[in-house]
Amino acid sequence: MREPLIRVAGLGHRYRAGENREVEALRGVDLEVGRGEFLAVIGENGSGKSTLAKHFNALLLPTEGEVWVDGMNTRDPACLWEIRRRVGMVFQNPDNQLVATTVEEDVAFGPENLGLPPGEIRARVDGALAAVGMSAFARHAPHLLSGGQKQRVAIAGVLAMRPACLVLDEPTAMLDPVGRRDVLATVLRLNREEKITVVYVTHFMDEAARADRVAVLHRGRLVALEPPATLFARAPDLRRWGLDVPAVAELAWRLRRRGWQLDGTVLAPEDLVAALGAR
Amino acid sequence: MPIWVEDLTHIYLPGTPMEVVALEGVSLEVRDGEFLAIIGPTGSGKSTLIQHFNGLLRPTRGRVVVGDLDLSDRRVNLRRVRQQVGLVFQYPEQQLFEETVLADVAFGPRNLGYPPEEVDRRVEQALEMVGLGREMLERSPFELSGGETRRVAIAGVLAMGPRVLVLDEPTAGLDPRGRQEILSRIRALHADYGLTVVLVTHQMEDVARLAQRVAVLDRGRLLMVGSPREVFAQAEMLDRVGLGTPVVTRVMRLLQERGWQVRTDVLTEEEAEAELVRVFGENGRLPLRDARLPGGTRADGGPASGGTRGPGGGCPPGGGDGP
Repeated sequence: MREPLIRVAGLGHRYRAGENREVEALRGVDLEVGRGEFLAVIGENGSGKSTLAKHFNALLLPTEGEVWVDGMNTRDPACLWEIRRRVGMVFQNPDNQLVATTVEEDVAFGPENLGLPPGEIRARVDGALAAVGMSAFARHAPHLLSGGQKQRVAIAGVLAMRPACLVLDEPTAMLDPVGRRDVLATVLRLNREEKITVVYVTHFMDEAARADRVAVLHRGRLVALEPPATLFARAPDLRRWGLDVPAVAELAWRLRRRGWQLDGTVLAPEDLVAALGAR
Repeated sequence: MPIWVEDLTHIYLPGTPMEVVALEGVSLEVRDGEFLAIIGPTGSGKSTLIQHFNGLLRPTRGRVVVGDLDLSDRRVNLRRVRQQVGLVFQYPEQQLFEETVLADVAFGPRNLGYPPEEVDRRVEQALEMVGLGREMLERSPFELSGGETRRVAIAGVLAMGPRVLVLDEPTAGLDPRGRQEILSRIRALHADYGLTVVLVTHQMEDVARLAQRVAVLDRGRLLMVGSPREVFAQAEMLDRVGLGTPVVTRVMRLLQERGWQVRTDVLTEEEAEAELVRVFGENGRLPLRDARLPGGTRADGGPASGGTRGPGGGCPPGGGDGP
């Protein structure tokens, strides 16, 4: 069997909070992210999601346990460069991630820093902008784009580094509905068609429902790691963890409670319509 | 306290190459005691509009009247307006800076020069209004959960004693529990404390559950004002401007596209359940053919009603338009 892209073993992380206080953000987390997988990470505010995500490209180092990326231990300083090249991060606020005066310069920033020849930079920028559907905006000023467009440019900037894995930390939290939809569709397409491994941290249950597997963090511990179909059938557990089920799953639950037969997994509107029509 | 916005145009940096028309000819009334939602895609002018509600911005053209005060009159005391109309900005917890919850919530009333007893009374009432107990007073705002911190920030605005509370995306970045906490408090501020509430949000589900009226902005213009049921019936318009409809409304539209005679103006899971039971029968076993044909027979043997009932017709199962 091939080594998973990311392997987390016994991961713990403590932050110093002031003079002599420590906060335990993560404890005993064991987790693997397979190559080509789409893993969603959910959990209430302060449950450790962002702390976990930052371990995937060595922005944070474990205070206990180990994290391996493509077989490299994040504690090994000699591997830092290679790890960051393989795992790119996209954060919540797009305004904090764009630096240049045009979209294409922004996307070129990473490849230029790699010292690549101009032809290669051009090819990567064009390819990355095409992959996120932003080619038409190459010469635009980033600050005039909508939130969703900015976030897609930020993703293109990471893609231009040709990573094996994208880690996105609440990339849609500040976006309007169409921005949310476009960013999620872009990430799903990159995963399904370009085979890029995705770790997607979110507070939106309907987004997590699109993942292959969902990891649930609660008070720094990993409390569930399973496909959305089984996870979102566990409404009482989810509520105990401060979470929820997608609206359509809630509606399906209400109908099944009445004894209605709805076959299969019902998480999205199309699922419910199919289940109702199939009977 | 009502707010009238008349033919409001706002241009940032007018006469420069950076000129941006943020609002154009917007007329809108915020009715006394109502719960109004303002929706619109990024850059549609929502945040610009609400900053006119308490005089943080001045109109390029047009007029804003709050109660009996015309804000275009330079003699109007804006401090008084800002006490009456409280604005809670996005990520308000980023504006917390004091060492204790007490000090933070007391900051506003203290600045207004109230005596200490009055400041204490206001702090206590404001915390009660957002559902935080006295035991919070001496804690650091930075030790609280996401939802709690945000409620402290809202309490800081409430301590000024506003009649109108305007919230700009109060649930952004919160987990589902935090989101529910904030929303149920906002509902109570409207229902129990009689505040006029203006909620700016990207969450169509929240609009469907809470608002009495909805204003839709797109590229600086007011497209529509109406009840959630009227607004979400305009699904194509909402899709076009990039807002969409609540997810249960989408389920009903998909069913209708497949030929089922369902109403598409349901707003909540409860209403969707009731409508599906109406169409498919109590046990959900209505044979496919009957429900799809207009004039077919219902599972209970009664006359088919689905074919004759248009969107918006009849009484919604969940009650009226408001909470």
